[in-house]
Amino acid sequence: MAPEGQELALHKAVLVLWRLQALALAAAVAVPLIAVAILASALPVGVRLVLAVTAALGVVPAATLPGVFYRGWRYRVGEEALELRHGVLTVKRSIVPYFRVQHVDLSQGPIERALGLARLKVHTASAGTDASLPGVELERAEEVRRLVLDRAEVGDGV
Amino acid sequence: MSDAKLVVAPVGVLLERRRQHPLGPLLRLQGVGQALLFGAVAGGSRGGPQRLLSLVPIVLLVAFRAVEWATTSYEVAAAALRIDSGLLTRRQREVPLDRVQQVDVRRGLRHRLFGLCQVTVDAAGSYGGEVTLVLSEAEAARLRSTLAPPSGASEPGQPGEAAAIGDQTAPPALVRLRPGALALAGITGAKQLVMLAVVGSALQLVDNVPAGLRNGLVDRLPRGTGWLVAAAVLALPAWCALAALAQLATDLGFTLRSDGAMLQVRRGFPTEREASLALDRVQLVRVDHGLLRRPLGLVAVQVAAAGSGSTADAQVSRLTVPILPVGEVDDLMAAVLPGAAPLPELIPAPPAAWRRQLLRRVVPATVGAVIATALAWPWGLAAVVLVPVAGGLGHLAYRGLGHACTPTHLVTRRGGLGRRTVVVPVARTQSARVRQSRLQRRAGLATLHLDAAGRGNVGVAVDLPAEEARRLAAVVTSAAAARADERAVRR
Repeated sequence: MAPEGQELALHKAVLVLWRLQALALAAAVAVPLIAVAILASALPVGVRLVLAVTAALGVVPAATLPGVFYRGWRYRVGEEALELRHGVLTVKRSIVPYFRVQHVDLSQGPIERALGLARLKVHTASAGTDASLPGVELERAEEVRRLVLDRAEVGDGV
Repeated sequence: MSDAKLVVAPVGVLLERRRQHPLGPLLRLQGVGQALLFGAVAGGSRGGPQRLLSLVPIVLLVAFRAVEWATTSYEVAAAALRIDSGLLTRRQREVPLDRVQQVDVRRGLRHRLFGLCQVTVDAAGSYGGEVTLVLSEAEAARLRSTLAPPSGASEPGQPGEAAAIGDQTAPPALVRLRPGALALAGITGAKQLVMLAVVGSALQLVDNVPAGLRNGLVDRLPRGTGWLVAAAVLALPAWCALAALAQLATDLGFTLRSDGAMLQVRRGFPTEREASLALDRVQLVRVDHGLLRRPLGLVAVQVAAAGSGSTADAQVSRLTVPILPVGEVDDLMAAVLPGAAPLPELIPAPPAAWRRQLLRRVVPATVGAVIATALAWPWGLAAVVLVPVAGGLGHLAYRGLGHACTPTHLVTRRGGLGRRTVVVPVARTQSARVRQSRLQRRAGLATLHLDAAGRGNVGVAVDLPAEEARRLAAVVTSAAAARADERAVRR
């Protein structure tokens, strides 16, 4: 059982997922650009060179940003509420009291499954609630889900 | 086991299974236009008996609607409204009575001709959670009193006496609006946007007029500046008159009543609408001090519930008082959110917020002016005027910021020219969010969002001192009262 009431980071493995996603995105932009740079012989060589180099440089943020986001993430399974804190330029904190929880979604994509990770999303009656926890270990996610739902039950004794 | 069955079966049925009024589905206009058009296209160019082809789509539509009527039924049993529908794909929808947020009744001209009305039952939460039935007046009154009993019965689901719609014993009105006030509401309010849409579609119509005819008309128009001035002078009153009429059509005879447990609104002509909302389901109240209304001391008040509100037309789950003198807001608040009245004096945002509000507007304006100047020298230089304007707006936006937290309610205000005050009962908020951008962090500020149940029901306090924002966010969890109030959404 992971410690309760403490601020916790996401699981390290989520970095792999985020880097893969970021690289895929960078590649989706870079590959057509590089293809143009190679094939478009009508363009001046300088322009083609700049194009290719800019596209290739997209790899740099793709490699570094996930780490920055990772360091910005904290969550706490408190006594009364689930508390999330994330964001780099804009820091967002969410507090979701357990007894407001309507349902909890747990989901896993193929890569997440391979890494043993899961995503947890907590829903309340408000559409504005923003409480999803990306990238925690599957067992941990299940544990948090059970905890949240158990406490949601307790508050339901009206 | 057998005991439980015995208890549930006969007692649980509050309203036995029945169908809508046979005319109900037929009166739905959706698709009729397309069917007629399609028929006209299919049969229009043919002669003789083939002309009958043009009737096929409309006959099919009527047949579909008849099947829809025959296969749809509703009942209230086991503490839920249950609707069965569908011929091939059977669908059962169940709305627990304790989740019903709001019941709306709508009577169009065609419904009134046959003594019918359209009842919409809205449940909390998901998109498309509402149910619409077309019933006779008597049936509707029965269903309504089953779903939302008159204040005598404490629990929903107790069939009170079927209080007829437009009952004589109705409680005194909280707000009653005269046509003059509504016309003013139309002229100063949101109906202006509707007007733009109307003008847009009218222009489109002009486009569709055959060119020959249009040129003929244009040639006949009088020329000269005198005529132009006259047209300009007449345009404004005509515009205002149309806006006023649009408001009158939706809200004529607006009456808001409360019997201590339910809010009820009646309004509109020729389509009459009636909405009822339990007071303990009120999630949030917005007071809009519109741009044109502030100088006149007028506001609009929106009472929001947790409905799904997917039908933009009916504005389900939202009761709006289109116009109200500022002085009467506290009285209305006392009836809608008793703990929040009178509205407290608001605490202005800290001085650090002034810089931020100003920068947020001046920086983009400056960048825009520089680009405009660079692109279109020398005329682009005129864009420099935007910079002081942005500064002025920023100053006004800062002046508009304010918040106050009573033990039970959070009141926030924002807006420069037009302001909006939002009152959130803290005990009914679902979650809290605190956002801090980099600039805010440097200035020790933060923005607090309190999420109330439903879509778009958020109280936002911009640029609070960061400590204050964090303290207020924690309030949502430390609400012992909240648990007792949980009924507002879940029970």
